[in-house]
Amino acid sequence: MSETTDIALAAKGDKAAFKRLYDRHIRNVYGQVLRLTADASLTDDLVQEIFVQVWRSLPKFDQRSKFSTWLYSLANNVAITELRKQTRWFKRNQRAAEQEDPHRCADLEDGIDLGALDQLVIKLPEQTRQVFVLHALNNYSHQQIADLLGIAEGTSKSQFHRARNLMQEWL
Amino acid sequence: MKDKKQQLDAMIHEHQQQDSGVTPPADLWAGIESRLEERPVQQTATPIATKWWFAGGLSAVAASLMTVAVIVGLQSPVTKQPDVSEWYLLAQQMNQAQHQQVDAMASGYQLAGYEMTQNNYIESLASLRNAKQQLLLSMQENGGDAQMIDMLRWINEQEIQLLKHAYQQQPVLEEI
Repeated sequence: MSETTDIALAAKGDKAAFKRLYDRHIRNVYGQVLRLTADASLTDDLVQEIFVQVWRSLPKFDQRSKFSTWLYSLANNVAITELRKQTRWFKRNQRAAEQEDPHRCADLEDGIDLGALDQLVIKLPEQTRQVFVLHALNNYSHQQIADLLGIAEGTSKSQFHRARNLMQEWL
Repeated sequence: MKDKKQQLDAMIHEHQQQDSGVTPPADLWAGIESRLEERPVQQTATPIATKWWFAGGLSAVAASLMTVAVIVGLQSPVTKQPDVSEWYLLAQQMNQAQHQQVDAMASGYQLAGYEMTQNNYIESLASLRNAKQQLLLSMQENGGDAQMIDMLRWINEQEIQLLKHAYQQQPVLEEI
């Protein structure tokens, strides 16, 4: 069954069709969210929330746009929004900005098979990592990132350069 | 340092070109599926003009029958099912009466020549019914309470208000 057909069926309430869409995209959505959170447990929760929201929003999806683009954009928005909602957001950001501990993701690397780039990405401090993922891997502009993360455009640029410098040091 | 810059650029390029997905360590589908609401059945779009031709004489009868059904429905005792709470039975009864009232109102408006002016009426109604369905499901599973009955009453009131707003336009006068 084609993806277009599955989208139409799922929009009308066909859960089997929605499962097929899930199977097609779960790995990319999971990878994307994991890069943003660097936390497997949190990623599990967020990915479930994302697919529930996809289910709810599917009837409004305009089939003229590309489904994967719409899906990954929704995934980014949900992930960042949920992260920001968390009460520990500011504390985690402060802590992440102050310390860079390349070993803090050791557990994550042990549990999940990550590519070479991802192994570096998850070691980045939180905001630095999110900026890098959105700009370098998702082609978001710095202005878009600034709007999404609630930071200045200049901060996004500086965090991106910081991410590159750190990753180059770790190579 | 220049080599490392090139190396990083190559890694990013490779990441963008190749499959960059990550397999979840656990199955997430079961958790997702349990949270998927049933979609409300979409009503088949019927041209309003055509609908009115058929609605004309039949609607008068239907409206009368539904009005009677509402009264009978409210008076008839609901047969108690095993392991079903009194709150849920009350909710079912309210839901049945509401459904009949909504149908009767829609037929009455159409009979009187009112047009539906709100294009997203079906979508909004579907959202309300979806919320109601979730509430009823929750009451069926957990028994419910007075607060949930109040919530159901509120949803029903919103449904009636929505119906009134949907038929705001003045009657269309047909040429004799």
